[in-house]
Amino acid sequence: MKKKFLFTLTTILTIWLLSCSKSNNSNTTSTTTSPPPTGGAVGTTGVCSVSISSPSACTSSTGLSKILCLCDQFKTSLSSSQVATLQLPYTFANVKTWSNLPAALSPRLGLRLGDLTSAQVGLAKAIIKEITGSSLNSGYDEVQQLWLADDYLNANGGGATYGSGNYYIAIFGTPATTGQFEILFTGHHKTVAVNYKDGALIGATPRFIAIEPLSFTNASINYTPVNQEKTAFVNLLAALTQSQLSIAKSSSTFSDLLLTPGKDWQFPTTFTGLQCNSLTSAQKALVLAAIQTYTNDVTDSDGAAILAKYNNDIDNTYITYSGTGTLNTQNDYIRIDGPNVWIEFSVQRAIVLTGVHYHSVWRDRNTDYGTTKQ
Amino acid sequence: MGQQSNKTKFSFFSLLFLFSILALKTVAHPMPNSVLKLFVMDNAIKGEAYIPFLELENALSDNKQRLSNKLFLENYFLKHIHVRSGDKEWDIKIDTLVFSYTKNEIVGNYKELKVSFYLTPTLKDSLRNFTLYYDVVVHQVINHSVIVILSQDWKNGISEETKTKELGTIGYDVIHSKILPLHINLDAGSTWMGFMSMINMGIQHIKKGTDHLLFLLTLLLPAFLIVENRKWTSYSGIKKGIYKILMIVSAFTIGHSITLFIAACNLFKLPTQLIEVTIALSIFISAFHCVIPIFYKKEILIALGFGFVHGLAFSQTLQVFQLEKIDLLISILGFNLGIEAMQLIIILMIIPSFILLSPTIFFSIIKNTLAVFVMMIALGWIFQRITNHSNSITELADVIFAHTNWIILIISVMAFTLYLIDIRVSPKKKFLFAGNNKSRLHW
Repeated sequence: MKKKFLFTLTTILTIWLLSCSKSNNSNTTSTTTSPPPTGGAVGTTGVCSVSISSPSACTSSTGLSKILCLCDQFKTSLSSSQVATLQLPYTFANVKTWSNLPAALSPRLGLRLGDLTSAQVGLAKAIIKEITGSSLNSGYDEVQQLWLADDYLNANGGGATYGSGNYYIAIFGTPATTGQFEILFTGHHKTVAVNYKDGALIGATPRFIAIEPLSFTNASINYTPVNQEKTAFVNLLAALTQSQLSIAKSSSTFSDLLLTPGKDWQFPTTFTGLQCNSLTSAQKALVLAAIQTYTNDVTDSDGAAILAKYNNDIDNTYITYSGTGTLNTQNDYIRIDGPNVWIEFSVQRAIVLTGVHYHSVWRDRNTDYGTTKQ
Repeated sequence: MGQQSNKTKFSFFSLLFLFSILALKTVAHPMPNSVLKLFVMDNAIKGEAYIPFLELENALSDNKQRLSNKLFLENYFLKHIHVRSGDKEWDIKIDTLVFSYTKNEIVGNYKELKVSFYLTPTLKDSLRNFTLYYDVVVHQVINHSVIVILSQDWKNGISEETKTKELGTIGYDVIHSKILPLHINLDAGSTWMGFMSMINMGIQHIKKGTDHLLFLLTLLLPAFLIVENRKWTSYSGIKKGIYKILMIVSAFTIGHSITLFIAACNLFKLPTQLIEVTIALSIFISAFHCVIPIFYKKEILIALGFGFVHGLAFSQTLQVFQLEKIDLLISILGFNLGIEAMQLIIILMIIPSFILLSPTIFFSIIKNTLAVFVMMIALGWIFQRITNHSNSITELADVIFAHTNWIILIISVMAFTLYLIDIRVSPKKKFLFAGNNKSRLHW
């Protein structure tokens, strides 16, 4: 009788154990959030508070040699498996992996900033700063504001899908003064892709910028990261005459950008809208001012060179817009399309909050991805 | 815009399907795209367009107040959907317009319009080779795109239950600054492929349709026991047990085959919910019988009776297809063959465990534990199918039964282990092949 009892007990225990382990498994498989931070990782909203590093080894160098030095410093701070995740082969399939969706909805390549320690994030920030411009509200300054905006979404209804920690940095090819490589910094509302070949920047696009909320306050400071781009376009449209506006206006509706992420190398063969050769020099200056809010996002000297190139093209550059022209209303849209430049700005429905939000893409008809097409 | 009855299950499947499509595409638009599903039928192609209402509003911003006007919408769709083979224009009939709410992970909940229509070629030969001119929404909202999916093509083994095929995307071609039509040229396929895919569907249906298996296996669980004084008592012997199993399985098969045929031919119908609840109830009753025998020696009748109900559920899978005549008969045959094959395989895999366990001192407690567990799940299903909401029990069941092969393996290993232990405990009793050993009473 004792034995019987003992066996019954073991049987019951076995069944319990089996059923328990089953349900535990189900828990682990059903969670889809990002892996937990390990070894002092900064986490999903921890990027903004980390201060940028300026490693002494790189202080004396400038330009590309500084970028190469910073890449080396960053890689030195990483484990070998992290380096393998960061640096991947240069292929078109790899470089085109950016998106305007949060990384949870459209996976990115490279290292997730939230998984890095603050020392590593500091070094990653140093690279990002070096490939972006130094003007106020542009370049690196703007990147920092967009990180804050994503942290705001995280805290205001967006949840863990959003946050500065969900931005990624990747290197395609080997950073060197010979051969081609790309540094890609990409997350929900910001993507920077720079291509260097044989010691020079050969492509500063595609670049994506977007903002939700349009305006927000963090630590008593009010931010409107994409306001200057919007204002530049509004100023331009306001300076056009009625007849110019009627030529520039498209009858189509744009609820989003045309050349969204993934739509690479699909520039129209014909130009539409208002050609800038008919513009007064004051109007042309406003076109350039709008373009400059994008070229300012590139390392200062490179950005100036690109702006000069677009300036040379100005007479063959076209303006197209749709909607109210105020860029305040859903489906408002403007595009600047030239022999080289391609900039789109779209006002669309808010996703996490209410109202509208902006999406904008800057591509180059010839040097997108440093001319890599396949 | 009525016609929503009897389509609940179907729309549930299509919604699931739509989610997976949208998730897979990871199209980088914060605005949802349209999905156009094509169903190849005998003489026509049925189309179902799922259009995000927000984008329809954007496209018809001058006519927003007319978006609830059925006639206005029908005319709009007739203007923007055309099919041609060569220079021959197909006939198009708008069938239904249904508004509903759906969800994707990028934009969250959104309102959607489902437009169903029939496209009929002037010449039947051109059914599989045509050009689709579809520019609903796209004609105005030029960043919008339409994913075109072949959702049913019986002769090529394509269905929403098995596999679908993406035919392409319709949208504004930025390079050429125009909307290009989509040329569609479908493989001829064959009746044989249709038949084979239905067998496969039957197999998949049993693999995934846990409720059918659970009913049958619970019914078979005490097959090797006899009842005395209204209690399950001793081992009946292997021969009697296997005979009983054969009878039960045959009765279930005959039962569900009859109703599958009748219902698939649209000769008889019951409300989906009633069928689903009765199936869950059948599992509960069958599990209760495992603990306290309530229909001992009448199992065959029970299997036949509930077999009728399970057959009605099987038929719903086929009704989705909207097949005609010969194809339908072939489908019923193939689908049923698949069901029987899979059923047989699983029974053959699990019965040895029952045989090994039945005579052991452990069986009573294992049987009762399993039965209580199954009763709990059956109750969960009954509740879910009445309320139309899943609950923690059904969610647990979904997780557990997603690993059927592991469950079978675990049961087999457990059966073998316990059998060996049992022999050690009572080595003199070589009972496995002995009949009706009344000295081995269980508690």
